[in-house]
Amino acid sequence: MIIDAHMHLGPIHQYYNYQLALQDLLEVMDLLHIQYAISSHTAALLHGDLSLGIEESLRAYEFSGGRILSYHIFNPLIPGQCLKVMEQYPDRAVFKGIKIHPSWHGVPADDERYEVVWQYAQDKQLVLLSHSWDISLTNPIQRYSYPALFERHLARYPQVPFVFAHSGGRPNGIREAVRLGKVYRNAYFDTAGDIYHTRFVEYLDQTVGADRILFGSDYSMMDPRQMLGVVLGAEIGLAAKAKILSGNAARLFGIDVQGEI
Amino acid sequence: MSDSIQALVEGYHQDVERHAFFDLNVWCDLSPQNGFYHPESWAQIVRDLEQCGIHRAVITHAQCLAYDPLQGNEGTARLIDGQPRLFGAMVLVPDILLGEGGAKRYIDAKVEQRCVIARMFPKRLNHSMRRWQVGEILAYLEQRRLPLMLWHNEVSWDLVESICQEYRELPVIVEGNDVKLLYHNRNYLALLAQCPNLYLETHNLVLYSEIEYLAGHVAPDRLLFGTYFPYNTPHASLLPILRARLPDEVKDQLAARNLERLLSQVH
Repeated sequence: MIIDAHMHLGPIHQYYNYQLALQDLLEVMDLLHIQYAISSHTAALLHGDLSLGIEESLRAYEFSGGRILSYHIFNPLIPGQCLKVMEQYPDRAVFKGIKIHPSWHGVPADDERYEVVWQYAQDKQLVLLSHSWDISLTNPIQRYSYPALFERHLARYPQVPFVFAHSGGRPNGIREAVRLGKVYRNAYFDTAGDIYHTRFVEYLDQTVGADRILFGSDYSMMDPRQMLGVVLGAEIGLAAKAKILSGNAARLFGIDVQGEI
Repeated sequence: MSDSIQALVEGYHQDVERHAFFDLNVWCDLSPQNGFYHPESWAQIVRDLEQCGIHRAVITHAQCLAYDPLQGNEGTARLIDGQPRLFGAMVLVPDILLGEGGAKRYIDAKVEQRCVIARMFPKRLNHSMRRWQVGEILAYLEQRRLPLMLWHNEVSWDLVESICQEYRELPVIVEGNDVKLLYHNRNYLALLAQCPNLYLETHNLVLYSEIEYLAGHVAPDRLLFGTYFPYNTPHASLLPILRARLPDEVKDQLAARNLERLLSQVH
């Protein structure tokens, strides 16, 4: 079975969303042998509507029979509200970690306003997932998620399992994330997004090792079939693929994986 | 667990071979790259493409964009010479109008060398795509039904619309380069409905269920498989078609038949 550790329920306003029905998602998860998926709902992540995000996350959990799990959202512009929601919805069966997005929220990753969420993640032993990307000439806001900016908190909170979502996004960002990964053993790397560079997964495997790579799709922005193809076709061993597709996420998020594909 | 993964991997590779993919978007680029793949030779690129299960491809030479378009085209001709499963993409610039015989002579010579599509890069190569500058080229491509391939970040959607309307017999293929097409689907959904000569190459049709939607409801005969290898891994482009909820016949169309049909119409 496969665990998709990074996806998003909910529409995105920037384009026509072809298909967002939960039933359809479950059908594709079955087709691809994805048993569990962990979502950051767009209502909370992008629109700041924490209530709707929680409501939809819980609905997905119920509808899917416990297969669609969720991250809480921490937005440093409304820290108190976010922490309050986390306290109100502590169910670890549903909420597996916390997502931050420095670029979208417009607050650089090294800003002190993130201190409370790192501390919270440490206290509650939760995984912290953050958008990370390279410095981009065409999308300047991405600089707020440049991997080097996370070092301050990574160094201070070595007990917090931290996931570089998109592994740094583009080659220079990926190399920078890997540099940090060699220093900080609590850093993990996910495959979500349009990171289709030839030998990207092989590079991660050779540098930080398969034990710290997580399969993520970035559904519904991306179709999970793309990154699943990348991992299945990667020139790495079967054991490494099994860790990336399932074993690492099961261990990190405490998901009890049973059964065969 | 590894046994299960092994079954998935083997099933994937078997399905790739079964659908005989024909890749419209392969590049020869041996210049220093910032990525993670550093081929030492063209032979290695071809070998690695074959390793992915892709045995037919249309090749563009990166020299056309970074050095000299016309010398790059000569490089393409050398790469495909004597290689029956490799075909060429010619990169066209207004310069060809200055030579003896104009566009017709240049394009005819490239077709003789087994170039099967044309590409134009008006931003990178600094020219207009309007009639006053490239009208003669586009008219001749239309006359020969030679497909014209464009990067969406090199042209506006308004320009794509005007080219499709002005040259109605010219197949116009838009591809994503390394900028996601997803942000533009409100544009190309409308254009696919209005312009029967508009095609999309698939490697950057990345939105969830996009290939299923386009092939199932919009234009199954106008999606053309491409990978953008060696910059992108072909595996990202293969599985979305193989595991699409589409009949096998439609997958075959996307994998190769649409492109074969398009190229058979070149005359």
